[in-house]
Amino acid sequence: MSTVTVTSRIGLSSPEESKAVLKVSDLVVEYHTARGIAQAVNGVTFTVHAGEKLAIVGESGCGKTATLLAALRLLPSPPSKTVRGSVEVDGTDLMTLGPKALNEIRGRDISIVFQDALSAFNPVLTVGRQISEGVRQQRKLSKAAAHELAVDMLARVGVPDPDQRAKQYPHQLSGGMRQRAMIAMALAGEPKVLFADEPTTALDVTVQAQILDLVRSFKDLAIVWVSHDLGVVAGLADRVIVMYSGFVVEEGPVEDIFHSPKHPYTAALLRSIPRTDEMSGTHELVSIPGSPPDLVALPAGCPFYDRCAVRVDRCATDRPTLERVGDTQTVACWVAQAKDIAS
Amino acid sequence: MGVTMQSPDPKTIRLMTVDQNSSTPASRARGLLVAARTSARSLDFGYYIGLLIIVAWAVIATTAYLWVPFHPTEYQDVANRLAAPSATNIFGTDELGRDVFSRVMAGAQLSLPIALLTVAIAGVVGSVIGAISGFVGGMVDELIMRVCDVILSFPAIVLALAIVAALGPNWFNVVASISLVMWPEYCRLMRSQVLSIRTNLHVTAAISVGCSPTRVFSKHVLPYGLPAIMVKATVDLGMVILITAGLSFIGVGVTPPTPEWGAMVSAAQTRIDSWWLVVFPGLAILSTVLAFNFVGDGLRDKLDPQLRGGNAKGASAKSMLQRIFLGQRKTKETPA
Amino acid sequence: MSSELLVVEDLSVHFKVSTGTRTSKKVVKAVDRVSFSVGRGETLGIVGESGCGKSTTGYAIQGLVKRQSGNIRIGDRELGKGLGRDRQLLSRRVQMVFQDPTSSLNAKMTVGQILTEPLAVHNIVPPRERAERVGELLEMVGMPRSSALRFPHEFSGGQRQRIGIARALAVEPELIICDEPTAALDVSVRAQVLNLLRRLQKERGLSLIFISHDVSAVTHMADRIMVMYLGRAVEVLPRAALLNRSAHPYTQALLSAVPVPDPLVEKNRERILLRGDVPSPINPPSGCVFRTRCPIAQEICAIDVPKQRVIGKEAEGQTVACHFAEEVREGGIAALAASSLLAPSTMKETA
Repeated sequence: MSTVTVTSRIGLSSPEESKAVLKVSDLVVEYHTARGIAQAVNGVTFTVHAGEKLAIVGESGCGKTATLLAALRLLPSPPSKTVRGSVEVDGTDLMTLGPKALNEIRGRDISIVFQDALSAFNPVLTVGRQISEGVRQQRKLSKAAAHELAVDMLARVGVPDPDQRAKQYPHQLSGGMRQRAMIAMALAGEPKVLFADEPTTALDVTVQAQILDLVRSFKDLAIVWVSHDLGVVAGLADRVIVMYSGFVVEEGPVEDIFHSPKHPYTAALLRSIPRTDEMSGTHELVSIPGSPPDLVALPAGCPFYDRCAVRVDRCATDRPTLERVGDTQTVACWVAQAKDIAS
Repeated sequence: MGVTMQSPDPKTIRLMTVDQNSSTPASRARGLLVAARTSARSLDFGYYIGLLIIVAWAVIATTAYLWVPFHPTEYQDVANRLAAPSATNIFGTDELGRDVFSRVMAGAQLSLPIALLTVAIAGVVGSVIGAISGFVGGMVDELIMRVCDVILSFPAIVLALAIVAALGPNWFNVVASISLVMWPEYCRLMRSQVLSIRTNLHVTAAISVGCSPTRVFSKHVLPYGLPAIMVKATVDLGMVILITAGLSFIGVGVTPPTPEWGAMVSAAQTRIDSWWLVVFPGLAILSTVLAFNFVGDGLRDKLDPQLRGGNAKGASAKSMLQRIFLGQRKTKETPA
Repeated sequence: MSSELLVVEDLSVHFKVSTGTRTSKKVVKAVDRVSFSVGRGETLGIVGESGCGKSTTGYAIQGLVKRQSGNIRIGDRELGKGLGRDRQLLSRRVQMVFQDPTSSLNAKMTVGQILTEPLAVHNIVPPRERAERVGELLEMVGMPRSSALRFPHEFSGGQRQRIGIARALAVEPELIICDEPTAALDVSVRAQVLNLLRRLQKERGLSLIFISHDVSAVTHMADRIMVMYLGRAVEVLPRAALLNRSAHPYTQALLSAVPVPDPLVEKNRERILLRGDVPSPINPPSGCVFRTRCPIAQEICAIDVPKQRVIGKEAEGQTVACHFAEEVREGGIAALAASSLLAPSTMKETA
């Protein structure tokens, strides 16, 4: 399946040649609800290398957003609780930092863009001021220098007439422009890692295309992009993590995940979406029966067991662990792992 | 860091989570977040205590005359007047030697019905007018709202006072005057409920199915507006007892010798040294007001789909009652 | 002619919006002179971005918003403009499935009550047989009969949308308007609902209007597709023509902006990136509404409103509203914009 471009890109992001900028290990997050404890994130581990674009895909409630927020320690506690795990940015574990040191790292080394740009901005401050605010505090910039920085950042994310825009309030910008401004704000501190929580979901497709084009142009920036849209992920990511009810079920390079998915959930998900580029429209879409399990009462075995087409007896009782299957992918599925050993 | 997005404060995050509809992608986990906030058991505790007190007072009100040790109005022992609490008169006696305990218990028979009747009248009248106002709109709405404005611009107790003073002091006039002062609040609440419910998708869907305007209103708008009214009513019950007490205190409420809590406190104002005259009827008022407020607060949380989080919204009267009395109903997810 | 179930001519829907002060009200042309038809058993897809008027078009057909002008004909029956009696009759023939299955179902009614309501309102099934009919409806959409006794909140999003579809089917309508029926659903559940709609349509010979912003869902479902932009229908074309015979710059740009779930395709794609956002419908551009973002806009586009006209053979059923439709259809706008033939003019954006 791999072409020349593919191998060269995988080589680029291999651990030997570039260093890891972000290491998340064994992250476990719970929500305390009226009905009991919901296990939202169950032992998520991943590494992001410099310049790498990692996508976390999954449906609502799969824990992808919770993973991002917990890694930045942005989840309000209570009701949520990060039970264990470490998040190392350039060797510093965010989980052990005090509030002051944490604030310094957030925004400088790592930052985040949200889905809803309008509510992420403070409505009563100008866009320019909000873009430069974090940096201004850290670098002790003058007011003029801060404004200049904001204008510069807006220009870099392709906002026309940046000097004017910096002086405007969030509601005066269009949806696409606001999302660009939020990216500018996240990038103002020159972070090494950018978290993105479905930043294009609320946008129209033609505007989404513009934003994706912009993000693709950030070659050196490591990005962790959370999305439920497989199309967006295909065009953006180098590596993909597939999550299902709080577990990582599959991880691998984007081409391999899309062209030879090993986990039955990934495979079914890919076949369940209609595509515009092949007008084979008359066929039935593959649908996954049922819905994801209740996070308050996760089954003892594989969380996908109820909906899985290839399940075996073992899946009901033993929870599969992530193991390497093939050369590039890791998969949490007994069936896929058995098949791999057999071949 | 303040306003920069790198570290939104917990409030911002909460806002984000609440804004999400539970069924849009990437938000079920956030829905859980909201649900989790309501798990506070302390509120539930107050709710059940409140319920208990109200039930107790209701039982007392209906049966007091059967078991109180002395007749609340006819028994007078002038020789034993203004006696401090003792084994025979556990709440003491008043200036005519009547048993305060008996009078407080019997007082429930008047104070509670006044409160219930007043809120019922104000609630029903206000809700109906408010619903018409919101559903019909236009000139009718304008007119009703201006009338409400006029009534609401007076301080409630002053207006009620003026009305009772004009009609003459008896318990029915108290009910009438307080209802008259209160209905605009229900009217406004119901109107705003109707206005917002009217734009709900399920109302559009009902119209689309072919329902007549009357049916849309009675089946699809009204049931959504009622919980808010019910909650306001429980809170107002306490308020009415206070206003009644206030009116009796000034002397235009319930006439002596009828035992009524407010009137009893009022009569005791000149006898500060006989503390039991004020304290026991006062405690009766206090416990009822607190109980109704607790229940009101609890009801609001139990009936509000937002606060119950996730996919659970309101349901039929039956399941609503289930929720009120048995706590939150467990929601089930079934595979297709 | 007789094969057409629904004919819409010159449909316009205007909304008044207040702009700050109480007295000054502006008119938004949410739908502006849109014409189309839906044949019996056909699926018409309406696609476009937010604010393009696709949902309003659906609401106007169903009589849920008042139309400013235009004619709507169902079968041989002309519909009056009022929202009164006609729409009661209309709701027997046309039903709707809504975007958000959570809020479109009355949470205080059981599923059984929800499904009985249309039967009772139109009195088409005797009261004794209604429970049986509800059971049939539930089975039709793949739900157990026992669901009738439960409340909507006890079901998942996908199941709720099935209930919404069952409600629409209850009166056995000829046309169902689906307004973004899958927008609120998760990816894996989306396919269930799309498959169900297709199956029901085939089995019952229904006509469908499938409204969505999701181009891939529309191309999967529809026989013909109407592309809307800022209240106008810019192009109507058969599905087969969408991929390489579309004649409007916006259609081509829209299609190219839709991400394809295939990394290799994505990597080698030629993208047409539009400038900026969709302009405000309160103050739409003069002439062609798309001209402010069009890569090949010329002077004439700011002056003349392009008419909806047939392109290619009449039988192909493709109509388009663009002055340069022939060139766009032949060359594709990416190539046109690059060549000097129709280079982007440097006009000022005058709205």
